[in-house]
Amino acid sequence: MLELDRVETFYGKVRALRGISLKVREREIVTLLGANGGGKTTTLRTISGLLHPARGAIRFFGESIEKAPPDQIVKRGISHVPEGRDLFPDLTVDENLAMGAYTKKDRGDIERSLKRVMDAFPVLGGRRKQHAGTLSGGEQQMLAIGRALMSNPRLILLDEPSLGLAPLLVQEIFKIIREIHQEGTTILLVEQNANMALQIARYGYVLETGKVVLEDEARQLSENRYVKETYLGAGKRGEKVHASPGHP
Amino acid sequence: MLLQVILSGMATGCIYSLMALGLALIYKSTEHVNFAQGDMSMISGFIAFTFFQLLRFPLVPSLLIALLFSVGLGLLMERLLVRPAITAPHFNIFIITLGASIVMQSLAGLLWSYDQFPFPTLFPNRTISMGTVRVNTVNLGIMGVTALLMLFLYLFFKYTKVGTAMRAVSQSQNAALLMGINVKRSFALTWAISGLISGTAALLIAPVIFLSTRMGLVVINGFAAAILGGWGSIPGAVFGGIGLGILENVAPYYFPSQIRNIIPFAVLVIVLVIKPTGMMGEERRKRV
Amino acid sequence: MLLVGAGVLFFLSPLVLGRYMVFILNLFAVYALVSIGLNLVMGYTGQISAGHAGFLAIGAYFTAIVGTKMGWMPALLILPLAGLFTGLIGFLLGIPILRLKGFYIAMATLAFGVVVGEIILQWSGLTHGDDGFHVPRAALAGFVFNSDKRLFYLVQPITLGMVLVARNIVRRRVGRAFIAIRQSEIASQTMGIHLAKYKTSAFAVSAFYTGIAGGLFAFVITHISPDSFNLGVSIDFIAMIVIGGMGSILGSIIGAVILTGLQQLLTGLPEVQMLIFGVALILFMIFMPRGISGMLFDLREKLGKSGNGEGKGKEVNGTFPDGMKRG
Repeated sequence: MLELDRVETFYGKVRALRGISLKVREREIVTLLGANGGGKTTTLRTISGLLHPARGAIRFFGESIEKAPPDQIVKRGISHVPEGRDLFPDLTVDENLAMGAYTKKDRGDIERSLKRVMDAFPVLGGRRKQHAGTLSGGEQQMLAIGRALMSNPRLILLDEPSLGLAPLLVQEIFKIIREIHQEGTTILLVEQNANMALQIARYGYVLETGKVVLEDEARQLSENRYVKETYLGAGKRGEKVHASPGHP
Repeated sequence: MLLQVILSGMATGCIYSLMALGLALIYKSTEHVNFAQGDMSMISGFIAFTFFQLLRFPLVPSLLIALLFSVGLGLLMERLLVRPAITAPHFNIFIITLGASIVMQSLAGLLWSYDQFPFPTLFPNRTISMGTVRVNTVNLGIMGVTALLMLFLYLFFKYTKVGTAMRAVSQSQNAALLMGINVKRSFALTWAISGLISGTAALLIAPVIFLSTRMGLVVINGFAAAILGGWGSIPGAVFGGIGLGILENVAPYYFPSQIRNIIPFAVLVIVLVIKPTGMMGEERRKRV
Repeated sequence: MLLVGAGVLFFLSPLVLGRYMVFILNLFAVYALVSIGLNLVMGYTGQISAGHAGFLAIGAYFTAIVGTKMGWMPALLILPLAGLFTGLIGFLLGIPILRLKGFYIAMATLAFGVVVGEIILQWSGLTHGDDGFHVPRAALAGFVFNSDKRLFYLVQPITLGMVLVARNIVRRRVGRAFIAIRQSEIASQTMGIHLAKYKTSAFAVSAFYTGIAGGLFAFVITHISPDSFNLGVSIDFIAMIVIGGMGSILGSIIGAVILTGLQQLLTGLPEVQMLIFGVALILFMIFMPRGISGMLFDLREKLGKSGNGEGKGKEVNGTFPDGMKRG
């Protein structure tokens, strides 16, 4: 449903994305892996409209969206959970969620989304009047995801959901991600924690310095030597393995 | 006796609060400083004057037209002056508003001359006794309207979708964009509301101090009030304004009367040196 | 060589020009000095000073009062003393103020400017308050500068000297430190530049320059009153460096000349003057934030494209307070 075709994005004069092409099929979980600065976050920000690509095309269900402003993109059904959560710290949990549903007009729809979020994250139920800034890290991540769910998106862009969370919480979050996926939402996941990402994704892309250096089914990627060595923390010392674009 | 002085100080304080509120609103949402806030006020006052005195409109419609104009002025300023420079450092916008202030003063001077003009008051000028204090109804009117406006704004920002969205924008522009909020429109609205506030301030104070092109200097009291209460804080703007008003009225009783002129500046300097964040201010850490 | 020729012509001009023109040239010089002083603070270290008229006033009144009470003192002694006195005040003011954020500095300096004006007004025993002060003629070893043409030969050499000194300051390490501070306070701190020290010294030097300009100003216009030093004047100074170009000595001079020239052309039409200044300020800030000197710099780069790729390190244009780079 989502297709990036040789997308190039600049930060000022720096070319952050140097021709990214990728596909996300409906009801899939696709993951973007890679070290910091590789362009993963930039890719998501380009999709959600915070950045506009200098070259290349982005198609969502066949329609071009690379020039669309962020509010249009939300209305078409893409929600972005930014890196570091980026909640509204002085708004309450309820208000944050209400902002998530900003583009929705139908009160019934909004109520239903709210219920869905409360079911997925019961913890938030007891904190509805609390300011988002006072929540714990895990609760904040849940709120961020919940807020993105409020617009009933068809595709969710998730940027580093595990960032700064204790391992137990990470498990919990990923369990919820799996659930959201099972309910029919497509997910494009950016993750430093390649282990967890490859466990739930079906397909993966490895980004380095703004280019896709490797792409494959997730299962294959987790067997790939380069991936194992660089991102999964396995592999023998001293042995240099180079990534080759395409298949291993 | 002191209570009397304090009470009349509160009325002036309300005007300062309105000035400070307009400043704080813009700063909180956009991190811009609008030096022309007072002059926007002044122009709105002259518009009302033009319709009432020169074009012989009835009073209330003249005031309403002026208020409408003040909203439009805010929108105009945002569109013409701020948006073209939106990517520039805040320093630039500050200077631009400085320029706008000068332009407005000179235009007003050209259109209406530098004289002072009496301005009609909406409230009858009477003094009533409440217990041991005698209160002027004009002052009561000022305080009442100010309180009403603030209540209205409070309800707007807390309970409406648009108001909440504006609060969201002031906390994180990026996240607001991702929610599908039109941030540009939010900015325009902020300036529009600020314009309305400044227009209200003009209509309240002009009867008391007479309309003149120098009226815009009240923005400095607004700055002093906002800094006193804590720059960037909305409740701070309100309390700072009232506080400054009371201070200005009380000080001449204990100090030589010339001190009245310097009070806002003295307050500014003292607060900045002792506690820059003012009474309720917030420290913003800069992230690199 | 062209420069030397122009210089000689300039210094011989009082012989040919009328009294009024020479007076204007003197005003140009005085305001150029103020401009340079203000630019040291705003253009190079990126802080807003909305009260420089206060320093001008201090320099002017110091000169007038000392010149009257100690009439034996030669002008060449009074002026540096005025400068040092003003510089000291600038330094003392800078210490508490400069550690605050940019906007607060703007407000504090604005308050300073107004308070100075008010003090001068109120302390009428010393300053003759509202009536204004008649400034004694500058004298040097028996020679009295009792005409505009004579004053020319006092004002211009001093100005020229101080411009050259300023240029030097800007080029050496100190100058680069100033620029680094403006580009990013945080980054420059990590490089070991002692922020407070540089900001305060920039402020003090700026006050020094403006103080001397104040003294010269007093001699040139011969009669000073608090009105000549109000908030509007401080804003005029800001307009000068915005239009001329912040962060550039040439820009300071250009801005001073243009604005003073406009002022003189439009005496008697103060509203029109203000209107033009205000509109110019806005337009420049939106479309040409680097001022005229920035535009010239760009032009020179475009023309001299065959030359070295990097701009000549002479003028430092093109960067703004808080680090936003242009071009």
